[in-house]
Order: sequence, then structure tokens, then C-alpha cells
Amino acid sequence: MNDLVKIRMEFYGQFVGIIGKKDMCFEVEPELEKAVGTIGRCLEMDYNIKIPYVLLLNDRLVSLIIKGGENQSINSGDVFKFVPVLSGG
Amino acid sequence: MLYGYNGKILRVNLTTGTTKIEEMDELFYRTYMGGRSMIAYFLHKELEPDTDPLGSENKLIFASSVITGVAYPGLGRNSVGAKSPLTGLFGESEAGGFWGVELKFAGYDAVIVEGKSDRPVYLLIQDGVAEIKEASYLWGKDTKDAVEAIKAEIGDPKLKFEVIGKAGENLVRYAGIANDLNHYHGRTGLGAVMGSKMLKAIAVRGTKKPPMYDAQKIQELAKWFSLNFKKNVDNNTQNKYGTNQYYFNANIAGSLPTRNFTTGQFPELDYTVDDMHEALKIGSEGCYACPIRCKQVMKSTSPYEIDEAYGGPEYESLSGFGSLCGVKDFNVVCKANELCNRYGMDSVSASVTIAFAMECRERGILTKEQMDGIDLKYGNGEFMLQMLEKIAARDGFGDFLAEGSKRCAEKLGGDAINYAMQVKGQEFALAEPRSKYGMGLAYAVSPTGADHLQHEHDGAFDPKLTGYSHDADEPSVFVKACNPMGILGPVESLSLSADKVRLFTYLQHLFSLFNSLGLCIFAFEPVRTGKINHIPEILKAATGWETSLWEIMKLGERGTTMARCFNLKHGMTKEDDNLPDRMFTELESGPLKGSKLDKAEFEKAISLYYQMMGWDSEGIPTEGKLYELAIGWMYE
Repeated sequence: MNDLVKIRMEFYGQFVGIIGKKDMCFEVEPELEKAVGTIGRCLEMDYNIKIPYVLLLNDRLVSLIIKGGENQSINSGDVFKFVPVLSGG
Repeated sequence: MLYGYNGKILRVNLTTGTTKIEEMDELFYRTYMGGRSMIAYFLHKELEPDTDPLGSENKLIFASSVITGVAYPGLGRNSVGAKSPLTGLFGESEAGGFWGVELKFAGYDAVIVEGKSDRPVYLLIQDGVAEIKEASYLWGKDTKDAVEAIKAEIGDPKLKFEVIGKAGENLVRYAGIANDLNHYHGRTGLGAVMGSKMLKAIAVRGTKKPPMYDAQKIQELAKWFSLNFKKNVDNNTQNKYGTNQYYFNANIAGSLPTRNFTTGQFPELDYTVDDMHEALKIGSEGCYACPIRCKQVMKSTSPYEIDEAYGGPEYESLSGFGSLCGVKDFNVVCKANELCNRYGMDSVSASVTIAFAMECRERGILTKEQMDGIDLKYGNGEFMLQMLEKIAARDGFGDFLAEGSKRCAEKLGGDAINYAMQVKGQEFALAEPRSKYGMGLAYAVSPTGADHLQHEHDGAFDPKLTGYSHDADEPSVFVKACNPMGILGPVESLSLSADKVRLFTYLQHLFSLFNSLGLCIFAFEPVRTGKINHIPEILKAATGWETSLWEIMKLGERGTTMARCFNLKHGMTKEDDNLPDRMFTELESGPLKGSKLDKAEFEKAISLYYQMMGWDSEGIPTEGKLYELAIGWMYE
């Protein structure tokens, strides 16, 4: 089993009000897909976040990292950003 | 007995100075219901293909709907339509507020303005009585001053207004119509049509609400909304932030149109929405019967005088005059928005046209001398404000930019057209298609030219944006909201798959029915509180009609198809369903660096869309489709 790495999560827009803070530290698996799964479950269970959000890893869209086969390893100190999807007008 | 609507349309001829009332039957109202569809009906029937949008033969139509004025949130909108001077095609724009409701309460469902006055006039409608009034003393006035002058003249502070400023008077091709100063029919240049007719304003006062078929049911539905809207994540924060927060969120996410759509992130944006609001916001306002109150009100005395009567900027104005023009200072951006509202000018087309000029200047296509000595470059907010003044006045280089980016590019020649971010002559809204591919499809096929209100932002339906493979196939709340339409699963944002085309097609039907019924996207699903299935319930409670989601989705499809038929009659071809080449090149930087639309996939998506709409390979609605939509009379 891989060791967990400590990352920082930053929240934007409506998420700041929902989470109650702008950022927090979290320990996740060092592989991207596992890490985002862990984070997603945490946000859903602890904060009831069920709306889609844009997730960035070190200012790169996570879905593009995965889709493009880019480096998917997570390192200590990496930053995830959570941004509500734009909706409406 | 009629329920929900009046059955009367006011026709005003400004050439002869006469008015008359036309009564339409229930079949007409049941088929078209209002807004877009009603406008398309009259424009298609009454305008010839060679109609000059700024000539006396064009018609300007103000339309409410059979449910406008029902006391349920999000039903205070009305549409305006005409042949657009910006696109030469179907022109239509909606606004919230109170005017449409007031028109209904004054006894009319719509007003058709035809002909052209030989002097400035305004139209006064008071509880069924219409009068064309002298307006020479109002010509040249800002929208606010004109409104206040008419209120004083009539002695009625409760009058509601559709009014133009000097941009409309000067026939700026993207002039808009102010709806009580802080709501705007911004798009497709309808203010210029109003100006061409020498019509300064339509002032309305009405006190007689049409009877409702089942008022108790409406009360029940409205009560449900009031008990639930704060549970919706977006509705809950819209009073505080309106759409302003999207500017900052989009920047973080890398989907913020920046420097004329060359990148998706504006690194200079180093303040927050709270910083901006602390400096400028003084309150919020709302529309008829709506508790959300999402309109932000800004005021300032320094460094710029910003009059709170004009409300405050929405997302589109912030990003248009901000990141798109490389202008960081929110004081400048909010002043630019205020100038557009003061002069009656679409902040979207104005900002995108200025950004186009800025890129042309950077590339050496335009010189400082050509710009009257105003060196319009990215980031120079003061020059941007000066240019807005010149555009509204059609002064010098402003006269050139008042034509819109496409005409400017055509006059400049060379490769300038590559830097004009427009479709069919109308400038892009401030949604970046390379971050949401469905929006690219929406821009391309919208009957009014590039328009973001054809489609919900793709991300709402894409859990994979999170990269969260654990539940990537679990429908989001927004997908579940669309279940009644048959949208049952997630659809990837950065995709133009057949599923995406189907999602777009159904959402376009939905948004088109919003435009026909005068519904606000900030009050209804897929992303806000009001249930999609509440719409037919509201319609029945207002009119007494036994109806269904099926019938009103067909209304939406009918509206889009009618606008398409109008466009084909007026010279549009399938080649006009396109996007600027920039959309097929990679975003230069930011979190979505490298993302682009694939040309072949885009063309395939267009073809699939035509097929799903029942149009042939040239994008022409088939005879069978027109008859299926009960508009066989449009088959020619």
C-alpha cells in the first residue's frame, strides 16, 4: 500500500460558504484517480456536496490530466482547487 | 372567458400616427403562447426578405406571454424582436423586471410597432388607452433622464419603461433597449431599430391583472418555491453575489475569456468579488414576484461617478470589459457597464468589439492615428471608456466600431476577420467554447447569432470534470433535474458526442420555451429551483389549458424552428452556422491549455443537430417537420 501524501485543498465561490473555510489540508493516495475519488467521497459525506465542480490539480484541469495521459502522480504540497461549475446565464 | 391573457395585441403605426387593437383567437395563443414564438410568427408573415432592418418597413415587437404576470418567481420577463441590424436575421432579446407584467395589466399581450415617425415620439399606454406623444425634448437624453422626464410629464411615478439612449438614436448596430434602467434587452441591436423609428420610449401603466384559472394552485406553487429556493446552492447565493462571482470562479477554472478569447485566465485579477462589492455595492434588487433579488446595485463617486439607477454589472459585463479587454480595475469595468446602460448599448457586443479593436491594434492592423489618437490596447481602461463614449455618439473611430466586429473586420480586410469573435455578425457572449464544447455548438446554430442563452453550461452535466471516477456515471443533480425531458445520464463537457448534441438540442428546446413563455433561467431547473414539471402546472393554473411538458417542449422547438425559417427567408445559409477559426486552435494558457474544438467533430455535430431537428443536410426544416410543429404555413 502506498503512503498517503499531504495536499492542500482550496475552495472557491459557493463552496467557501458550504465548507466554512477557504482551504484545508488533506491526506490522499499518491495516484490522481484514487486521490480525487477519496476527496470526492469526503466532500459528499462531510459537506453534502453533490453538484458538479471543476477540479484543478496545480492549476491544471484534472479531467484533462487524466484524458491526456499527463503525469498523474500526487506529491506532498500539491494544491487541488475546487470551483463550482458555472451555471445559468 | 379568457384566463391568464388578454387576447389583444396593440398595433402602432408611427408613419400614420395611428393605433389599433387586434384580437387573436385561442388557437393562436395556444400555438405560440408569447415571446419568441409570437414574435417569429409576425415577423415571418409580415417582413419581406429585402426588408432593411433600419428602414420603416421593419417591425419592432414587444411580447409578453400567456403566463407573464403570474405571481410565481421568474415570470416577469418579456421579449422584444425585429429583423436585426447587427445580423440581418432574426433579432430577439429578453429582459426581466416589470414592464411585461405592466403591459399585461394594461390590457395587451404584445405591441407591434411599424412604420417610422417623422419626429421623436414616445408611446404611452395606460390601462388600455394608447397614445403617441411628442418626444423631441427627450431626444438625446440618457435613458434615466428620459424616464424621469416622462414620469414628470405624465405625473405617474409608477410608469414602467422600454427606453433607448443615444446609442439607439445614433443607430449603433448593437444598441439595446433599457427596461426600467437596470434590465436590458441587450442583444441583436433592437435599440437601433427603435431609434430608426424615432421611438424614444414605451411607457406603460396597468392595474387590471387578467383573471387566473386557478389562483389557489399558483399560490401553492409559489409557496413551494419560497420554501425551497434557499436550498438551491446558486439561488441561495445569488442575492449576495448575483452573477458577479462567476467572473472570479471562471478565472480560477481557466474558462474566463481573456484578451479577445486568446486565453482562459486573467492572471492580473488579484481581487475577489467581496473586495469589489465592499467598494461599490450598495444593495440588490429583483424582478416581479421573485424573492431571489439577484440584481446587484453599484454606486461610486470616485474615481468614477457610477449612478446606482443603472444597477450594476452582470458576469457578462465584468468579463467583457474586464478580462476580455485586459482591464483589471473594477472601477473602470463598472463604469463601462454604467455607460452602456446610460446610453443603451449592449455591453457584450460593445466589449467584444473593443477587444477586437485592441487585438487589431496589437497586431498592427489598426494604428493609433486611425483610432483618433486613442491608443486602444489591452489593459487601457481609460481609453476603453473614451471609446465607449465615441461609439455611442458615432463620433470618429467610434462610428467605425458602432458597426460591430464583423463589419469592421470586413472593412479592414486581410486576416482581421480571424480576430472578430462573432457568429452571423453577433459577438460572442462571455462563455469560452473551448472550455464547454456544447456552448460552441450553441453559438454556431443560435438563430440570433452567438448567444449563450441557447444552452446550459456543459459543466453542469459532467461529473467527470472532477476526475472523480468513483461516481462518474452517477447523474448530477442537474442531470436529474432534466430527467423529465429524457436526459438520463451525464454528458462530458469537453465533448461533441452524439449524446452532447442530443443534450444541447433538448436544452435548446427548453431555453426556447423559456423565451416564448418569458421564464427566467435563474428561477427554474435545470440549475435553479423551480421544477421543470411546474411549468405546465403553472400554465394550466393560469390559462385553464390541459397541457404537459410534451406540449411546451414542442413550443420551444417551434420557436427555434420558426426563427430558423425566418433566417432562411432572409438569406442565411448553412455556412453561417459556424465559429471563428480561433475556436479550432488551442487555448494558449491556463488550466485548459491545449483545449480546442475539433473541426471535423464540430461539423459532424452540426450535421447531427440538423437531423435531430428534422432539418435536411442544408439546415432547412423539412415539410414534415413544419407540419409536425403545426407551422406548415411556413413551408415555402
